[in-house]
Amino acid sequence: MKNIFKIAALLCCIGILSVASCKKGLKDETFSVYDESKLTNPENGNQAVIGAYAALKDNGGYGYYAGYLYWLYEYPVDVVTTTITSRQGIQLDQLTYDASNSVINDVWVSIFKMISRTNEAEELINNIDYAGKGSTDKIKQQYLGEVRFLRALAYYDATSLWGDVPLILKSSSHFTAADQNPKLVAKADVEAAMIADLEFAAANLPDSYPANEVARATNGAAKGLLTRLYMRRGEWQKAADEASLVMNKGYDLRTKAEGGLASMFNTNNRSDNEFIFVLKSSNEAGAYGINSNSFGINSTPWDLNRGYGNFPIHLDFYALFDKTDDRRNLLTGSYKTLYGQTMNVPVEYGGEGGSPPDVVLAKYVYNLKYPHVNNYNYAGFNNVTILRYADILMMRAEALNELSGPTQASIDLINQVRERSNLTGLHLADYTKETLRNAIFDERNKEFFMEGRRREDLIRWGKSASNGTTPLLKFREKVVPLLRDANTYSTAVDYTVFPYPQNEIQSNTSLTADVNKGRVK
Amino acid sequence: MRRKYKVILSIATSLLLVAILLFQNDTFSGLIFPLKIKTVQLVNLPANRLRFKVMVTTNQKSSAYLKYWSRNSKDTLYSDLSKDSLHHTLNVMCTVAKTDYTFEVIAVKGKDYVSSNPYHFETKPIYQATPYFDLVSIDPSIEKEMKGMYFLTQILTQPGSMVIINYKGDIVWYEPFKKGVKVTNWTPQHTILSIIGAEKIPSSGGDEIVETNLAGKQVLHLQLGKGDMDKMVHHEVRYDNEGNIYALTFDKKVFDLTKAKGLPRDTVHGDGIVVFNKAGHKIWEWSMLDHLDPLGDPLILKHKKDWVHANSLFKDTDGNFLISYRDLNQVWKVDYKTGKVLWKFGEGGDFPLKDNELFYAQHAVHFDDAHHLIMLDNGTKTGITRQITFKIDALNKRAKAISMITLPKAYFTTAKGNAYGIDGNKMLFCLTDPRAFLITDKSGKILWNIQVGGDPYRLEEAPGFLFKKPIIK
Repeated sequence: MKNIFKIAALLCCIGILSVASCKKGLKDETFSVYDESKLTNPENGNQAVIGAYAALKDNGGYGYYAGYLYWLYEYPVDVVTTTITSRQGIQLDQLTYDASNSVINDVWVSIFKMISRTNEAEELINNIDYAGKGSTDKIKQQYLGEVRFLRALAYYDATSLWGDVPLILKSSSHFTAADQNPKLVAKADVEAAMIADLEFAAANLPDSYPANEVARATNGAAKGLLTRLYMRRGEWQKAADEASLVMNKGYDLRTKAEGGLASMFNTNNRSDNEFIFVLKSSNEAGAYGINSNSFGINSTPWDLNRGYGNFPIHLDFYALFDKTDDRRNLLTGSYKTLYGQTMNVPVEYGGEGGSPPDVVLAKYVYNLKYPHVNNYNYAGFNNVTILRYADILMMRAEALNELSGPTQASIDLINQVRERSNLTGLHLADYTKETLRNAIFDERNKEFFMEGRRREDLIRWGKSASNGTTPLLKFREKVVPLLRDANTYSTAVDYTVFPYPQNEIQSNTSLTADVNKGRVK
Repeated sequence: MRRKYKVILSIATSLLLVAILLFQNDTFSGLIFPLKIKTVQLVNLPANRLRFKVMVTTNQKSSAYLKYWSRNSKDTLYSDLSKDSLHHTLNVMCTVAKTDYTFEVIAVKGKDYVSSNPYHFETKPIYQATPYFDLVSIDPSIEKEMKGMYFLTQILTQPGSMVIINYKGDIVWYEPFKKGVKVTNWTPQHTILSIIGAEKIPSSGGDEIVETNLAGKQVLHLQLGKGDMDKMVHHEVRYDNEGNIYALTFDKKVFDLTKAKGLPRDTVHGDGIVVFNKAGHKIWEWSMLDHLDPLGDPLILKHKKDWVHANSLFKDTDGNFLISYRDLNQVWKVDYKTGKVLWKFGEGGDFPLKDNELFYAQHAVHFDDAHHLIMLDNGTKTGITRQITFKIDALNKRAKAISMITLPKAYFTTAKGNAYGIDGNKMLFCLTDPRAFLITDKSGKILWNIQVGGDPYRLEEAPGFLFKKPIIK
């Protein structure tokens, strides 16, 4: 019995000693240093806004609007195709992509990076006392408008590419545990948040900026993006009304006298009031990977000016153009190669044709909207058009046609765009609602090729043409004939949305493995 | 078998007892969950080159403070104390520019005492405080006691600043302002009360009263045109014993000056007194223009823009005001209840004075603890600046200079300045024209001499500026 007490006492002692000995253990405190007035001044707000704009290129080169976004918007549809050099590109072009396609992942990451930056910027700006620190509340509202415009733009792309996406509208400092693994939010709810952002931006952004603040979002940009969103939602009246608000705002089409559409993309012409919102970047030697876009070098073929020709365009597309159509000059119909020959489009596709040895017949044409001129290798400074006035006119024309069939008003809008490019106008009497719709989409194709619009146009066209029942109607009609193997197209796959990237599924516990069901073969 | 069972039962019971002991008793639970400092964040305050904030979190409610020291110094300094909290904001408030410091966080709870790792910070040069303070000489006899002393002064020019210096003249604390800091006063709460105003406002005047604590927070801010502050203040701002703030004001009144060849409706600018309560409400006001006949001044037309120029104000223990009029060479006692002038002291006043007791353009007139009247006699008539201590018998209107400290001619100052008793037997001088801070003994021997690169208005000791090592019960 005595032993028991001894043992018990000993155990108590050991217990107390062992915990007591831990007391002077490791000092695991964390130490950090920061400046109090950092990020509390109006200029910090401006820096945050500029940082949010920079997210449009996601470090330049190929990032987001500087490149990869256009792989997702252009490759899967019917104008642009790929050469055999890029496996990821071929997957997108031939509809054989899956969740591990790196470009899909890249764009996803870039989009949410921009959303994150806009959320942080919004928080930061909200916390700055503008009026108290020598600035004004008007500037504060403008900055908030700019970041909310950019956030809406990011969500526009996200919902265009994936439909339902996580909706994050707050700074990470307010994240709850659930926000670490955000759930997918219905596309309509995301769109409601975008509308709120864009209406705020439209109300608080200026009509224009001083010349030294190029490429900042105006209220015209916010209204233009809102128009695009209403179009996508099939809210024709709202779209038509919103588009009309962008008219008479100082924007117009670049006229024939000014050199027409072709001159607008000239790298010597850096600004024009047809541009409503563009991505600006730098051609300085060190800008690649920081502040450039690689459209120039990727667009043109090697034998023209040592480009990489990564956006070859089917000859059938060249054949769509009227010979007098000025816009055809934005394609490489005929050019002198580095090796001294002439490269011509064959006669059967509307080209000049010819025969060896002086003439080589082109297999593809290439776009000249991003001329590889004045660029330094990959460091390109071509304007990447995100919104331009011609689109506003064409959207309003389409919306009016969907509302009440062909009217002189919509014909006039289309004719503004046609006539600027040397074409004759359409006549109201020649069209029904259906045929005018087709004419509008054909016109849009020729006007906006390689500007990232075609994929969405085909989906919208399909919806309108099928009263909403078959969004892929036109997509299938246009894309399948161009596939190397028509059997890769699967009716079980909804090509209006891309698969969620594998990386996201693995890191976001809210996404289950079956989330890509119906999105990939 | 039974024995084994008993053993197990006993062990289990004793462990349970230990566990109960651990969770019931603070001392024991302290053993298993010792007090820990979880995070230490050093916050640079770029607006102030000498001040730092340290945010500390502890795992349990505790008291926390910092100790810090500069490289190569044995003196340990302490921050303020944060009590009974998980989150502590501690302020480093006594540093010199361009110096490396090391600090440790100390957290205490009961008998639990932990200190953090040592961390570093570095103070930056203070370009705002352009005037410099250079120690010219210090008498070895006072060096030891001077080491713990700190002095509050101010920079009147724009940008202005409240400034605290140590005995070597190093700025150890400052608070910059875009406007000038016209006068400062060290309060019993260890805050600094001051008049802030544009440089162009004359007569040490300003349109703001600001009270700042040592952490740099404005604890009081009165502005002209806001609330009850309807007049600019000048020269003096202090707390009385009830916690009300009193100050001199600029006042004006319309008089018929036709007899002095002026206008029938002529404006005379004079001085007044205002008292604000803690909430900033005006509770008392007085104007000398109600008590002095301008026609009594033959040069009133010349003087009417700043008649007689009050330059100091002091609330006596009896609650009445002592107001100094530079241009009258007089000090008045004003009854707080009635506003009546109780007596006038000085040239042509109610007290007979000997010739060498008369003072000219005096400054900083006040009663010391022994209720002797202390003043800096600028001596504009004699060219000698001195400090005079008067014994006043107000009842019988008798006064006697019981001591005088006469400064060498080189320290003559025509305007501004002060003389305050310090340490019982010494005198602290601010002398504006010669740009000097002095400490003298009773005989006038200069024990401490600081040369100033600007025009200070006043200098006073700031007792309790330095935080002592906190005593935590």
